Amino acid sequence: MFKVKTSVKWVGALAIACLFLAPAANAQKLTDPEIASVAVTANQIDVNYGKIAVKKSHNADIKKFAETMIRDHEGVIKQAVALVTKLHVTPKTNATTKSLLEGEKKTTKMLNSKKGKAFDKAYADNEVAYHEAVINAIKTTLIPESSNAELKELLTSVMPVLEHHLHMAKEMAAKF
Amino acid sequence: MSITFGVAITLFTLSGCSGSSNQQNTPASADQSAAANGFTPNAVDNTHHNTDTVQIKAMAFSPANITIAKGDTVYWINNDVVAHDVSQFPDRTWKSALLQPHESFSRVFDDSSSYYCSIHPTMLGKVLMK
Repeated sequence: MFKVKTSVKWVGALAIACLFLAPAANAQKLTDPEIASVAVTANQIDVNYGKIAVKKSHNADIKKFAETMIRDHEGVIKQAVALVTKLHVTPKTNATTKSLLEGEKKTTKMLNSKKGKAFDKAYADNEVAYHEAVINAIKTTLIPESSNAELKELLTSVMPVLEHHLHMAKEMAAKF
Repeated sequence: MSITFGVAITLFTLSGCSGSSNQQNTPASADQSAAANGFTPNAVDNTHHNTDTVQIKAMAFSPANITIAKGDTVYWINNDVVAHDVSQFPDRTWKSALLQPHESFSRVFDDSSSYYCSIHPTMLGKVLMK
C-alpha cells in the first residue's frame, strides 16, 4: 500500500516537474519578459489551487494553509508586477507558461473530481509536488537565465518563501 | 544617507512617543531605507528609552533574539516579499496587524516575551530583558 501511494506521489511530482523542464529542454534561454511570465503564471496557479481548497475543503488546517498560499503568492505577484512595470518589461507568454497552464487545467479537473478527505489529500500532495517543481525551476532555470539584476534578486528573495511553503505542505500531507 | 537616517529617527520619535498606546503599525518608507541598508535605529526619546530594530526578511526575524532594557521599544520592519505579522507566542495576547512589505510595527516592553508570525508559525523570536 505504501509503495502504491509513494508511486502515485512520484508520478505526480514528475509530471509537474515536466511542466517546467520539458519545454525548456528544447528551447533557447528564456528572456526576462518570458521569465516574468513564467513567474507570474506559476504564482497565479497556486493562488487558483488555494481558492479551490478554500471553497471545497472542510478541514481547518487545509483552509488555513490555502489562505496562506493565496495571500503569499498574491503578494509575490504584486511585487513582480511592480518590478516589471518599473523596468518597462511586458511579460511574454512562452512554451513554459503554456505548459504550466495546461498542467493547471488537468490538476484543477483532478481536484474538482474529489471530495472530503480524498480532496484534502490530493490538494496537500499536489502542493508538495508543485512547490518542489517551482523551487527546482527557479533555482536551475529562472535565476540563472535572468539578465536583470533586480529580477534575479526578486526571484532569489522568493526562494525562502517557497521553501517555507514546501515545509508546511509536507507537514500537512503527512497527516493524510 | 545620514539625512535619510535622521529623518527616520525623527519620524519614529514623533510617531512613537505620542498617545497612550504602546503599539503601532506604521508605513515605513523612510525607516525602510535605513534598515534595508543595515542601520539599526537606536533612537533616544525624552524618557531615555531606546529603540531596537528587528528586520523581517527571508522568512525570519533578524535578530531572532533581542535583549533590551525595561521600557525600551522594539520596532519590526517587514523587508520581506510577503506579508507577516508579529504575535505573542503562543496565545497572541499582543499582536500587530498584518504587515505588508515595507510596513512596520512597534511595541514598548516591560517584560520578556516570545513571539512568532501567526501566518508562518516556524518564524519565531524572543524579546529578552537585560
